[in-house]
Amino acid sequence: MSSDGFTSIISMFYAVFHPTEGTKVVCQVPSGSIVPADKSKDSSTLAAPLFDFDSIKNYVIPKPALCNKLVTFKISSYRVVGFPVNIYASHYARNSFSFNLCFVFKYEDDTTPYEGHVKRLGRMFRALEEQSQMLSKADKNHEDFFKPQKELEPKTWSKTSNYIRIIQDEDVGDEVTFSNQNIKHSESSGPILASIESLVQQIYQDLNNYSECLIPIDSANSVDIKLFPILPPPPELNAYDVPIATVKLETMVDPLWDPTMVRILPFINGINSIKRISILADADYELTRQCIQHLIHFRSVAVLDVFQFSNCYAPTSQICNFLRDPMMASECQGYVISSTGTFGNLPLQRRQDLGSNPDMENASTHSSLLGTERSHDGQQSFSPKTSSYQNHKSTQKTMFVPLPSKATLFYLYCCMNQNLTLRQWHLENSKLLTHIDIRRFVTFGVLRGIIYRVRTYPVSNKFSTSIDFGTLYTSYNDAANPKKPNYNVSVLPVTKNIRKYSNDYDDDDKLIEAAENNDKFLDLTGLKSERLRKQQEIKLSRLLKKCRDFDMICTEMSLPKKEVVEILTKMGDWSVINS
Amino acid sequence: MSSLFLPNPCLLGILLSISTHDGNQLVFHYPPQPNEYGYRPTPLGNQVLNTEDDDYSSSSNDEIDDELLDMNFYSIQNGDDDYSFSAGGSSRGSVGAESNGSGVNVLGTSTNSGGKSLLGILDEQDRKRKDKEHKRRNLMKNIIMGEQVGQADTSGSNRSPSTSLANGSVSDQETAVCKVDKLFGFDVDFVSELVTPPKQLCNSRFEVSVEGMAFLGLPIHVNEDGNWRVSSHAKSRRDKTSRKKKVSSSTESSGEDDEPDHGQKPTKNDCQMYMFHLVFVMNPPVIEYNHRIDEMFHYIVSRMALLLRYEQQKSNYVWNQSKLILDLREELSSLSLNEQWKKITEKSSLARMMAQTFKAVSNSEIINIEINNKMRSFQIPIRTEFSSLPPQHTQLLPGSTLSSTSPFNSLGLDLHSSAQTNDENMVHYALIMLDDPESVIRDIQAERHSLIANFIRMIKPSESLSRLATLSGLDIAEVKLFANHLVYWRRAKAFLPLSPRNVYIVSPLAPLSDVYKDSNLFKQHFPNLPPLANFLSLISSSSSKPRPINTIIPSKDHRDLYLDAVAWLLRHGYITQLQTFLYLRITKEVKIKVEEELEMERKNKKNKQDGDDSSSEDEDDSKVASTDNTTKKREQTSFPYSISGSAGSDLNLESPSQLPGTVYFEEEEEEDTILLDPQSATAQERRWIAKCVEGQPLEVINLFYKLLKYMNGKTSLELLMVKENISRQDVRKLLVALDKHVTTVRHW
Repeated sequence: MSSDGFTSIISMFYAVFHPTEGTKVVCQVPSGSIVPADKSKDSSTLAAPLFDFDSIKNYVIPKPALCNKLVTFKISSYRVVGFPVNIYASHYARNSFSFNLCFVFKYEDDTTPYEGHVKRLGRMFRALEEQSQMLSKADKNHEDFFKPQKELEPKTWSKTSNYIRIIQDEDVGDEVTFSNQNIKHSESSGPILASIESLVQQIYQDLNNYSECLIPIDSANSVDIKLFPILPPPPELNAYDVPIATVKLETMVDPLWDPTMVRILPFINGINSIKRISILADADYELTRQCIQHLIHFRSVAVLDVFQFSNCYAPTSQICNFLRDPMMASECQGYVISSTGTFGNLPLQRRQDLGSNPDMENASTHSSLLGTERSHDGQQSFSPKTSSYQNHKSTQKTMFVPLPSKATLFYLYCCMNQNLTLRQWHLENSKLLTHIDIRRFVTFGVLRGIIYRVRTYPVSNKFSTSIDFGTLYTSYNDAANPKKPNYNVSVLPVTKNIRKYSNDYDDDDKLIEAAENNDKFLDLTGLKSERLRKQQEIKLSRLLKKCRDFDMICTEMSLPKKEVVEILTKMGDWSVINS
Repeated sequence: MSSLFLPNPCLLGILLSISTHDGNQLVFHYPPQPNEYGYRPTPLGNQVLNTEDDDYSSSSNDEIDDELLDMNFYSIQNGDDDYSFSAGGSSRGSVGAESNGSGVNVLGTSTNSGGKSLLGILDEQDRKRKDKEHKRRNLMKNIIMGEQVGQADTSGSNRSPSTSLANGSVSDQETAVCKVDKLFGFDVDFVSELVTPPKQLCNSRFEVSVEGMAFLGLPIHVNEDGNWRVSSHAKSRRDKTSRKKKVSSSTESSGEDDEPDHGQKPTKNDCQMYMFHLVFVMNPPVIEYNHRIDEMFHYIVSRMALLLRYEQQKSNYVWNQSKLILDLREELSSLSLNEQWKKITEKSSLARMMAQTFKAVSNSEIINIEINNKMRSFQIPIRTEFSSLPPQHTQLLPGSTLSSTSPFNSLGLDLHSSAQTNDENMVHYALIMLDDPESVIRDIQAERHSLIANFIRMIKPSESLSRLATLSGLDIAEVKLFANHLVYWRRAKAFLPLSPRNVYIVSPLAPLSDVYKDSNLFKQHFPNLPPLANFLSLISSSSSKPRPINTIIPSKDHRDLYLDAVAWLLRHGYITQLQTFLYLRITKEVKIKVEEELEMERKNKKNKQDGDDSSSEDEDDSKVASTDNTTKKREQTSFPYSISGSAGSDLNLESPSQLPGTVYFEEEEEEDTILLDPQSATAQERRWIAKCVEGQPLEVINLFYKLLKYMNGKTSLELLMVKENISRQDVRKLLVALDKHVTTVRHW
């Protein structure tokens, strides 16, 4: 492994098909790694080759069918990655020239970061060879690769044809076959390449040491490689997911950044959901979501859930890591501590009743202390942007903040459970939570995987009881004939005005709505609000049917949970599943 | 990593190539016209948990999604192994195009219908056999496929050669294609050459990849003595000598000229073959490449190759079958390709085996093949049990279960270690059958009254394996073996024995979006219970913390019914058991007391020695420093410093006096500490522990010391009670008595 986590190159070699000697290794790094080398020339020569080259000859220089493709193969405990190239041209001794620049890796290592570059290198060498026989002429006995001179045009021609060549190169660059005229014999116009050996050597060393290289070959070509890891695609996000930055995003902004990205950045704070970010930043939701996905892809953002005091959290089986991982607990201490507790820097209104916070009055005086503390702990992985303790007032008064002990923090995590809302949990432990920012406490736990969010799914008893949901569901599923309801229509009073609104929806929406509408309303004055309510009910029942959790329902309907609950209650019996 | 939890065989085809003195030959391949995708890897789909965000796209989006899914699902059902034939790729394409709203891929659909008509005949029976799990998997697959095609379509130009090839072959079908010229974009001859490595590369893993397409196999070369296997017990003297020869001449390039004992063994009399190679052609997604290749090689390729080698050694099986297939192909060459293939797979067991393997692997099913009247099974194990919660947004198979303690969890999933059949905790677990016992017995082709059949009939979710062993009179090792077998082959899942006292929660992995669909099924099984959704609601929303299941059981008569329902829910991954884990917590009071005692002792000692004042005071100071865990900060500036100073200090008490910053702790205020490994406690820790139980009744103390080694958060109390045979009351008594000193955590 190199320093950047890329697998290192064990060996590189360049092989050609020699007209008389067959497939042979022209150069290899380190010396002696592929074929035995003369020890007297190079003291670093390996004692024995890594593997038996003869047995893989046919894969290093394969038949034309495999050429110009990325070919990798296993040999003993190594994987050889190469891009065999085969060029037809009448001036070659056998009418063709074949070569391959191969990279050797450990078999079990991940070679994906290299593969694209191996391909690109192969293509570039191909072009160089086609343009100026750079490779074939680099050989000491390069005459071997060509037909006897007399078949060629007179030497004088080439000296006068620099101009012609340039034009021709443009046309010919991609062609497979070459005419004789393109052959250059004058050294002056050919590319400057000291030796292939030194080039290979340099690629090998630079990639292994720096994961990148910049090696000029001639005025127009260079070997520029930078390794990048191939990361899995980011997950599909939901509107209610809450992104939180794991790096200092604002320091990375670049004038060339995507405008949406720049726009949404200030709102990524571990509190706003994606949908809310898009509203706050006045950006398109879809674009916002994609931006966040990009950030996730590059691991600069992690995903949380909407923080609410009605949420439940519970420990996962990873909770023991809090004690076993030597860093986690102290990082947690540093992250969650707050001299003023959770509500210290809120303009306290309603929430006051949640927990009696004895330190509240002192809020302004202590926050400065926190401010300094935060600026010091740069090693925190998540940026505490939002809870900006802007209050830089007095520093005269000294304040003692007892650091919550690790055992206490552990205990606090442990006493969360699947049925306990944060509100209740806070009430039970308010004494211990005096100097802890609950939101940060939860965020830390969720991000480290030691607690998980217990989601709450409302389920309507109607789907499971009054209607035989099974048959309904099958008819729903049956895309071929969705218009054939199997249910007993008599139990479903379908009123006319409902039909009007539900025209857009398919049959079973009407059905559900109808089912929910057993108690008919006849308030004509409130018709408009009633319509709205109807539409909300339709939407809600659709979501209910899919068994979505409250976060999703609230985001989808753009309503606070309280109102959703009200609608649910109007619609009939319902219960919740905590999962 | 995420999608690694989902099966994705990405198998394009299976080839059998042999080498004889006449050269290489591609004997058979399946499917007859594999798709090649232009050497490209399978695009990796986004993992979609909730496809619907209908507020932001068209309002009927999810309807369409669902319909698409169904359609997709049906097309796969009708088209039967669509993806085994050239139509597969195109059908993916067409569906994807629709879901992207960019119109139907005409080419794709035509191919699709063509493929269907052929295939309908071929795999009629197979279609009927498809079980529910399979359907679900297909669905999942399609979810993934559906999302990735947009990507695939953009590179359409790349793809066109393969598609047109597929299309061409379909239109040719009517005019009967009788010969395969190209496979995976190569000439057939070249393919056989490609997969015929020189002898040095034989008898070990073989892998060649061309762009994103990999040829994976284990080429088997005959030994120089004419044997295919290296048998450990030499049968004859001749054997021995020839093997010696082999060792000495191991550097020889190939064994083709080495057939001296050609006529000596009757079985190899007519075998001109010196190498055979069963090759699996795959196109795994780029980032999963190594994982998928390893998986396939380890579980299928290598095992199958060794099986063939065994049969070849025993009865010249591969050569005989190869001859048969080649003769058949000659004979049937006038027929259309698919008829040829149909006839060949009927007549040759090797060809049939390849076809069955292909179909089963493509569907991530268990491969059951019969060679010489012996049943063999292979599978790539499917990950459905997790010890920790996988990252959010990770897609899993529905019905996956969670348990951090189950010894069955990693069964067969670790590539590099054999299944641990001797975990001692295993015997305390019970099994829940995933299928009806009789059908399992039938499926595994056990005798109706054999040991294993009787064992399977006895399995009950409330009986642990050790109890089953006693009841059945079987040896416990045998029971473990059977249990492992059932779990490994996807017939059963292991849980702690069901009890009404157990606490269950709705699993975070519960497939809740299926809840109404499964409701029907639940109702069929338990017509007298509340509907599934309400039942789950009952379990999950008790007052302030999860409670034992018996709180929802109305009366004793309902017990069995409810427990059956619990077993059903466990099996379907809806619920998971909450287990209790214990940690020993040393409170500061205890520490102070111990400290005082030590002080006293020291003073006594000092009085006796009356000398060396200064050194013992130093000792005192360091002692304070070591146990003091940063409680009060005096000065603002010291604050960040003391945070970092306290890092990791309170947990490793083995190295005291490393803590700086004692200046600010004038007040001796101790902090609670949680012991991670009470079993190997230091002297001081042992004093603390002793202090914790001081003054407790003897039985509590005894039980405490019995359980002490488990108070490390690793072993669950539920398991302990079975294992150490401790009653619930005693445990409760202990926990109440030591309330202050034991921190309990509940998770799965």
